[in-house]
Amino acid sequence: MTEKYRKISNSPEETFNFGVLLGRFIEKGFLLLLLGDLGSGKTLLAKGIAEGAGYKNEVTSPTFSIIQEYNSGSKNIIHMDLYRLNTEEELIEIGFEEYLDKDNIVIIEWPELAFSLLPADFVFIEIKKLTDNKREIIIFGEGKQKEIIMERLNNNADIRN
Amino acid sequence: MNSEYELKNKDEDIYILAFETSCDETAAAVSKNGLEILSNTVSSQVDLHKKFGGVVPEIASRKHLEFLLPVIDESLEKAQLSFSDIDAVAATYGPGLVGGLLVGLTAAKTVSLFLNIPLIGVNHIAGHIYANFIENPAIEKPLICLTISGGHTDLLYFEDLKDYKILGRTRDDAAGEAFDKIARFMNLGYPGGPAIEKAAMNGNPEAANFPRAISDNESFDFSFSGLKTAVMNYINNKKQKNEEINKADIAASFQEAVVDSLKIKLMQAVEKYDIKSVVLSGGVAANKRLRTAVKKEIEKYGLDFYYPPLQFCTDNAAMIAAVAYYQYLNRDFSDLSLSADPSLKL
Repeated sequence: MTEKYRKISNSPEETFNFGVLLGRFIEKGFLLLLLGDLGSGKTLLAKGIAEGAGYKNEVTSPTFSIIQEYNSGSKNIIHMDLYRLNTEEELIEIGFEEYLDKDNIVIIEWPELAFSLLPADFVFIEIKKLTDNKREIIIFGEGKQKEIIMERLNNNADIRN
Repeated sequence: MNSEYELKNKDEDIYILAFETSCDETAAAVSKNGLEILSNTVSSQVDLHKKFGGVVPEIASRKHLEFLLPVIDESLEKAQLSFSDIDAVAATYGPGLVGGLLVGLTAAKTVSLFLNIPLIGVNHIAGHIYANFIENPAIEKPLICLTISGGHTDLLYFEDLKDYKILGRTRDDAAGEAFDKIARFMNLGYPGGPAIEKAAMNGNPEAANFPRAISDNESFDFSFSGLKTAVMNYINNKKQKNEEINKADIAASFQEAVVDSLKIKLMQAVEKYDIKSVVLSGGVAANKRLRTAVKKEIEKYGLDFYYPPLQFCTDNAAMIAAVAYYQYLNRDFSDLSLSADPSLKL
């Protein structure tokens, strides 16, 4: 399956709201990989996802802390940012693999370094800068998680239309 | 179990050994009666980061494990003390990276258990406040403290260890993170704070009008993500139009926007609270433009203004040892079941 879901966001608010929608659709064990340049809105989207998944408190950038954990009561969310890491060895040393637990929702910004350590099933969410405020958000992947998200997003679009 | 310890009182000399492993630094220190720092050992160096052309954070718990014992040994040696002279052992138990926190905390528990001395779990953010008292024990309270670094943007009201609160913090990027990311985007080098400051020296701070990173008027929270994106958009748009990019002007304008944003919220807090002093701490507090701008405002109010020397701005164990002393006097001890809390609040 190479089908992709595409969404145009015209503002930071829309990006956040789309994150909230995604957050409602994901379940324990989901692994979301956020791709996009500096300043494209990855952390903003992650904030929305955490809120959609039921987390009520403030989500801040994990660039410095690298790994942040949020518990919404029913869901445990791991929010990572691999921006500051340079080697796979560093990744292994921070206990990266232990966080990829099937009971966690895992969101990773700058995930490129981790590609060879990832399980088979995950979802890519790419944010492309179109103009200063306009973004294209593209969801793709190969596994079951991507199928579930696509189905729910498409159904949601049906209801709205 | 606390009652089993032989405890000293305020009129006796109290020596505390402290560990700080919450993020990039593996550090140990010994304090005498709180603010007298007998040793302050930090293993990591910015030079190492430069050599690798980026950040090589010493976040790995294994790295902390590797460094901690030699760092502790050196700390005791410099203090000319041995384990048997220590009255209590302290460690940061949050906030920070869980792997690192566990190493320091487990080491402290071990020392506590074997020497039968109290264990004191310390909040890292409280440490940053006490860093100021190490250099200036006479700072008058209550005070407002703005801690700004790669990982923190915390505006605090502080009366004493039992009476303090966070007034505001960042809603997205930390102030130091914004400096690092913009510096990297402009290829100015690392760490971003000094790199931007240097580039800005010959620039015009009014060349570009970047948004001030202010959340809203109601709260004391900060937000730097929008500013970061605005600077990147500005540069990208110039590139697209093939216009000349004046790095000095952009650096100066960006720096001015950060300084203004911090200053505006800080002064709102100064206006609202009845305080005696204002303190800037954290790595970003080293920025001269910020110091000058804030000092000018603070002087209008006739308040005292302090910023700690750089060695106490960054993460260190001396500040943890300092806080631990006051917790010792309050008999505020932890038991061996204390767990690391990565998202500990103040």
